[in-house]
Amino acid sequence: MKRLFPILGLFFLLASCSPYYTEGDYFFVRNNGADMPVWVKGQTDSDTAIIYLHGGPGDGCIHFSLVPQSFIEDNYMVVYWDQRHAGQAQGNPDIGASRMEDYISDTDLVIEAVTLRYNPSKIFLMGNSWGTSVGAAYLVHGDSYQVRQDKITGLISTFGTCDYTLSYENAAPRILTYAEERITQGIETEYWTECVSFYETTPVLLTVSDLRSHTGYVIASGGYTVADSASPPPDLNMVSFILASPVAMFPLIMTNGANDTNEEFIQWLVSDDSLSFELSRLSVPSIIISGRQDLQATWQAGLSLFLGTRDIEVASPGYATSMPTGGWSNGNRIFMILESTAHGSFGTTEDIEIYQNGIISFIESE
Amino acid sequence: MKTTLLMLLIMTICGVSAAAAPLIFEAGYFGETLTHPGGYMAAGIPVYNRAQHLIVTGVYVGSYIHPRNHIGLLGLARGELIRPPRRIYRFSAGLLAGYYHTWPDGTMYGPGQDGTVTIISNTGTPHFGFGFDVGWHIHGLAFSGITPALRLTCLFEYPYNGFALPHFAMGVGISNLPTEESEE
Repeated sequence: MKRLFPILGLFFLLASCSPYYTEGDYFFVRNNGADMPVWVKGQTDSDTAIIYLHGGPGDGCIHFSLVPQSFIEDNYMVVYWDQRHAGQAQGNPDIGASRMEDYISDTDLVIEAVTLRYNPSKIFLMGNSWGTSVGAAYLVHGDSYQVRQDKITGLISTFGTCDYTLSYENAAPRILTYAEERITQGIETEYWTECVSFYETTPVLLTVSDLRSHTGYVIASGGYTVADSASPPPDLNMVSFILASPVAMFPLIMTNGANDTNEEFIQWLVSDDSLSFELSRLSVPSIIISGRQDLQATWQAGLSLFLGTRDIEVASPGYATSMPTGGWSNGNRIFMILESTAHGSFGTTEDIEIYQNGIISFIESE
Repeated sequence: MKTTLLMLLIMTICGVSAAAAPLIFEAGYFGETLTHPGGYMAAGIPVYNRAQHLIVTGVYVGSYIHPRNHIGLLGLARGELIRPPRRIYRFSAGLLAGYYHTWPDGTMYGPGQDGTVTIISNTGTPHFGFGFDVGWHIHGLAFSGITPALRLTCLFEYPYNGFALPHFAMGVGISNLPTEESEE
């Protein structure tokens, strides 16, 4: 017991000295049953704000923001926001009933709160994976999309899709090819035979079980993270992260799981492709970055956002199957394809310099 | 709101204290995930005392802050089994259930009455709280009738995004639990 008090004192010291309790600016937004944290970091006096829209749904980004994102935080104000029932978001919204309209409303609330607090002259939406859907939906979905577009300087889409069906249709043949190669080589034959059977009997994703199986095969075939990734491990103090940061571990793990296992929510997520028919409304400057190796959100899905249509074969004959190296620029839109990168979540891309330079150049050009 | 709830709980404890002696009281540091600081108070009366096994029922109040995450306030009913004294301690195990309120720790923005975004009042979220704890009353280190106590608590906050969210906490405090109980 006598030793306990010095130990407790040490904990207090650790807690009170943690930079995570003082760095940047922290506040919450409340909307339709959800209390969502917003952490503003980087150059909070910059006139350019980048609102980060995380993936998942359910991944959160407050915890990810503990890893320094110096390539954007050195020059701009970066707004990390955990969406409803994700990461550190509190409250008790009904996950099964959440729809894109809720995410649009939440995004607008975050933008208005940031405007009220800082009044930046430029606001960019930067979506990662699912976050691209949220960003694109904010800009094109519903009746008042033009009013929302007027608030935004540009859209940065990284490894995203607005059309799960399109992405699945393009990923399935590539995974099948990989599976057949493994079977031929006699490697994990039973597993890859099940994989072949899955894709032959599942023309579209419908259920939690389907999505879980597909994601498993994407990961196993290197379509999520390229094997032997060149990305360095995150520079993170794990003790401070767990004991003295805004992050609580159980919500981080359990909210993600709650999203992934909610049948009603997942069915909506994988089957509602209505957003892909509204993409032609997108008029704000955009940069769309996709990974050539990505089987979670295939580059064809990125191309669809770039072209503003899901009929990419019609809009770009030939390119739908053999997109040239580098990318494509068209009007105020840029499509960039990273050759060695798969899903690239949280910026862990194998083409890190091209990725970072592409984003910075785009922001500076607007 | 927070002050009112706290006052109600303190009055409840005082009421229990006046109505039924001897009151077993405990108070101390409440560390949610060890380092999110707070305090707790527990008060109860023995309802069973045989062969130095003691069952105590009462109330448990606590509050803590997880900076930039949330502030928690607990008002729980508690039942505790205290085992006979060992060499320097008495082991106890308890069940808790009651009210658990949380407030996000930060300025809250939301739609105002006219629909525009503004700072709104942070009313927090009510929850059902329940859980269990284990503790050690260390009479080997007692002084002036005061016994140091160590307590490990697992609490669940429900509903939280549709599920019961676990919290782990460590309590370090003092109690007036005597070394030995006279049997009734």
